Amino acid sequence: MVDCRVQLGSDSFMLSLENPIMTASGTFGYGLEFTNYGDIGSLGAIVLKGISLRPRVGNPMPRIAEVEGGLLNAVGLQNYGVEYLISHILPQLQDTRATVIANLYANSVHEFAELARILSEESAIHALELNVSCPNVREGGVLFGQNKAMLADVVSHVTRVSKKHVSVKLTPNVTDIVEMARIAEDNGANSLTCINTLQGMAVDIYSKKPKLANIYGGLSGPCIKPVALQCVHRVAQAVSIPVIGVGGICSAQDVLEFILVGAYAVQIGTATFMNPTFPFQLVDELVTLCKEIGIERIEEFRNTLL
Amino acid sequence: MQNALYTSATIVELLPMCVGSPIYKITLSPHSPLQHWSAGQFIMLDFGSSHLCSFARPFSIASIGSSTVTLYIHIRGKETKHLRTLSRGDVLHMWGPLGNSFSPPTKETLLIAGGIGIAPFVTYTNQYRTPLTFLFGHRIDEENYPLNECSTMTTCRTFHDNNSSSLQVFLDEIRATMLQYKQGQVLACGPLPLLRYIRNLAIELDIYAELSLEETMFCGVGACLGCVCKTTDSYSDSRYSDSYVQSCTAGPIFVAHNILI
Repeated sequence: MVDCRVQLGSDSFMLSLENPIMTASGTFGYGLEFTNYGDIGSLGAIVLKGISLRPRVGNPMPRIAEVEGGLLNAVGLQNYGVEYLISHILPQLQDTRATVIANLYANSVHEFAELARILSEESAIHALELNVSCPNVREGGVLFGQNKAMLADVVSHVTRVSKKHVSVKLTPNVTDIVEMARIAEDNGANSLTCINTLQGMAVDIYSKKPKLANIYGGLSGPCIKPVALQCVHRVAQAVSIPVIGVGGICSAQDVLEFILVGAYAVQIGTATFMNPTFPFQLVDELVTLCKEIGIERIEEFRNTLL
Repeated sequence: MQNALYTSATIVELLPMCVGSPIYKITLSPHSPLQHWSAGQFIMLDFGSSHLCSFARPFSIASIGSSTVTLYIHIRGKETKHLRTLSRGDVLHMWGPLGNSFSPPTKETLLIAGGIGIAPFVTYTNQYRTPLTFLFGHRIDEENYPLNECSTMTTCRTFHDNNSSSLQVFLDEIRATMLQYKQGQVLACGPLPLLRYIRNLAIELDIYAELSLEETMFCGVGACLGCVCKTTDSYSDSRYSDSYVQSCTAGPIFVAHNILI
């Protein structure tokens, strides 16, 4: 037997997960898209597509470009808005055993706090993840995650009104992610999600056009794993709240690499696009790999990098 | 789609349509049978290339037998190119059937396809076995396409549109023929410029048309939001009118009046 359970935090906002495998926001829809491919209740948690107070149409096409080792996307947080989430999606999620984390996106501190207040009341939601790191929207998004005062403001306002565990999803597109991690922690974050996508671009020399209508997009996939590992390692050494690792995870070995450098849990993103059953398979593959190398409790392996 | 599943599948046949053809017929035997599908639906096929990061591609289902699924694939990019290295007995992965399907034939149903857009009509003509007219435009020789796999009850008229004047003949014929289907329906699949032309004609002539979009898809299940199509305010579900919907789950088939392409 391998004990895969993890606990994010230790206070009243503790989030207990059956295993460390979560899905990354924006790569798993609202979870219901995947019920044909596995039991979403068997995952550590699912993180929903970013939700805003009002519906967002998102960016024009093309929104995704394939690049070497990953994807570049500029979807622009297309979503149905919180009202639709509550009326149409949460009742269906409630029927699954899934641990559900809502990912919140807003243009202002006020809106972030309002969203947190609304979603805090929902029993189908177990935690909130603040998206202060989306590189693909004109307002809000990464601006909050790149500005120290704004980050402090939004995290403190949200944690004040939230009745749930709050994770802050950080951007690697900053001079020093550790500094931003400390600000999130100091202002009440219960955990940190590292990292959102790296800003990038792709062009076509024949048409002389950018491959994304938005010109720039967020880079994800295996090509960013070394960057993500480095961010998780540095942040995990600097803060005392749990860090959730995300960036290019494609195997059980990748999962253990993130846990080795200090992650409590991980999120699977781009790999789910390559195989919709992948997060479910990974739960089993992780157990198998742990047995192989003699790990009895996942938590024992955490942060044991020599 | 409630019946979609992910499965491994063994290649039981893989052949170019003719010597040197860029189009291959591939027949796979899924290890879990695909069920409850209808003409117009697609599957995502992962070519199992050795890239660190390789994405599956969507393909219209051309036929499903008791234990097999057949696709026609035009080799164009880095994933489909991998097809040339595969052979009988190799195991790939797929998921599906995905997406919606074409409406069943009414008294007057006109089929129009360009190039590899013929694939869903192979299954459509065989699924419904009723007399249908089919206008088919193709750039490379006709022998590259599975025309003889369409039901014998279908009247196929082919157009070799390999230059601008022959393309115009095809387009003119589409207009003239569509005019005869004002009370019926037009079903189309093919490259975006062709579908755009048919959409505009459908609106101009006020003819009901369904278009199967050939959009690049990454997940096929509605999660990545990379294959979205812009809807008009007449889109059937008013919550999503005048916004974007996923081609993989709300489509790939859309009513011409309801989308902007």
